[in-house]
Amino acid sequence: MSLVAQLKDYQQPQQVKPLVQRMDIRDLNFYYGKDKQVLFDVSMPIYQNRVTAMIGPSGCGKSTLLRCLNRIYELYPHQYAEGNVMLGELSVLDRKVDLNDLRAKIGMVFQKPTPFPMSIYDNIAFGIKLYERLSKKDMDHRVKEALQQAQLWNEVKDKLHSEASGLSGGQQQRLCIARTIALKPDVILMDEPTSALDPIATQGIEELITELRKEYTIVIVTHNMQQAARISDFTAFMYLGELIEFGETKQVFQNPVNDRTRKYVSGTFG
Amino acid sequence: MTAISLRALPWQGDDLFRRACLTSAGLISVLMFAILLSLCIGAWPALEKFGVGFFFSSEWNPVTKEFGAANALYGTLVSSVIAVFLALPVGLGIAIFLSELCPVWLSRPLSIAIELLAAVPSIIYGMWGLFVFAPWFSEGFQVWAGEHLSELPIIGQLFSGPPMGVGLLTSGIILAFMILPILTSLIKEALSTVPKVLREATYGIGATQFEVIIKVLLPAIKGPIFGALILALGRALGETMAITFVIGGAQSIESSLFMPATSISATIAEQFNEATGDMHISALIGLGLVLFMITFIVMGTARVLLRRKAQ
Repeated sequence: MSLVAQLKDYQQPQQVKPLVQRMDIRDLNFYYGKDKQVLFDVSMPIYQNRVTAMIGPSGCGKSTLLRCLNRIYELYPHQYAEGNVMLGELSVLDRKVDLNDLRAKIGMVFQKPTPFPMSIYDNIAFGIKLYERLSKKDMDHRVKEALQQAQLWNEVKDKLHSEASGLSGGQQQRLCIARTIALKPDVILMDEPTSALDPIATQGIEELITELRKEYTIVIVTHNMQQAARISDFTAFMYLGELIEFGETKQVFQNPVNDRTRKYVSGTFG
Repeated sequence: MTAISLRALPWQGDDLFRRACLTSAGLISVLMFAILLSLCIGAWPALEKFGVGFFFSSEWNPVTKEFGAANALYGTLVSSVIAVFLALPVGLGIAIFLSELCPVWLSRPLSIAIELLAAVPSIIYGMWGLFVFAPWFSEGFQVWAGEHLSELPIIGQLFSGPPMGVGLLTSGIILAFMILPILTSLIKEALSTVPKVLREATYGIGATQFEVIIKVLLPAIKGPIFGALILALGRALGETMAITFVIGGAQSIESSLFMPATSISATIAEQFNEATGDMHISALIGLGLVLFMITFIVMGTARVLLRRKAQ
């Protein structure tokens, strides 16, 4: 209750865009099979053009929560979610939702860079071709645009047609981000996107996320609290499958309401 | 420098143990070399007499003592290539079904069934091929092909001739059955090395199952698939019993795949017991040497390719 009140007072002077709710997670429960519940009544908003970080000790359910948002968990039998996830008017968990369309609207970037076994150009074009029929010229333009947004264009413009696996880890991860934003998604989910990268590549991705926030809504799972503090606008702290605290990042880190949150962000547990 | 042992009783066994293992391992290379050497020695009289011509001559006449490996080599290569060509699409289909499409409860029994197929002795395939498959094949496919396919330009040649049942094409088909298990399990294994997250990433941009499999998973394992193909080819090249039954045993090279032919292993199996004269035996050993070398090269290539894991 008090959190909502705080959020209403929340002002961020450098951001021009007003606070608009993009997604709404409501009473979400998640199960790995009938007997193993891993998320308990999670409710939280996702705000447009903001970075929302999910933090918590390993096994707290933060990645699981993220995987509910584009229903990627459905690749595995026996995993299911109950509750409500709304993307605007669209009920994400509704069986009738076309999963392919949903995943074009809600893109995902994974822990490890996952370039497809094809050229850099085709990695971007592959996703676009699933939805749109473009001329060569338009496709070239879209690929370039995506690579520029992902701040990769200058490094790869001379080798667009060489294999993507030849890129460095940081470059591959930016390629995966480019591939995701090429579809012009509403929301980008990032599941510990820098956990396989060195500090310099990590910094590159963090700067990119800050830049992308101007046009996209980003939800990021991270095990790195400093990262959450550096790049996110909102932070959700999870523990044992429950959402313990959600609020403006500054508030969650400097003035947490919940005692467990305070202990976690101050490093005394977790 | 002497090591200081903290043990009350110094243990001397390590060195002995290491030597024993080394000897066992060394035995393999010695065996390999010994086989190659004895093949060379045995084949020497024939190689000396016919020279390089031994590999290219299609003359195989125990009466005139003229021997050339071309007939058998042709039969071996063509039947094996047919086998690989036929088995690949089926093997791919089975492997994709097992690892991507079928529910877990079905996948295990099916995998076991495929492994059992590999355990069927090759003489059973041969008998089944000769007594069951060949008559059915000649009355069914070969008669039909004679009427419809033999008129086609270029490839018509391959499907002309009397419907005899036994022959190159029949051998290729039987071989395809025999290499299917290894091909399937290698492709399945390669698919299982594709990281889970690559699948998730592809589904994550909204690709359908078909797109994920065809455009991402298969390209990701194209090296291992090629390796599996070569390994299966190696199996097919050396297969003896089944082929001896169904290839027809004719020392000739015909343009039609329906005609009887022979293979290296079939020639050796048929003739070794009743070989007339030393030159005949030497020529047969020479055939063995040829097979040994082909198989060796093919298997070596396969191993190198298989070592490249999926990205």
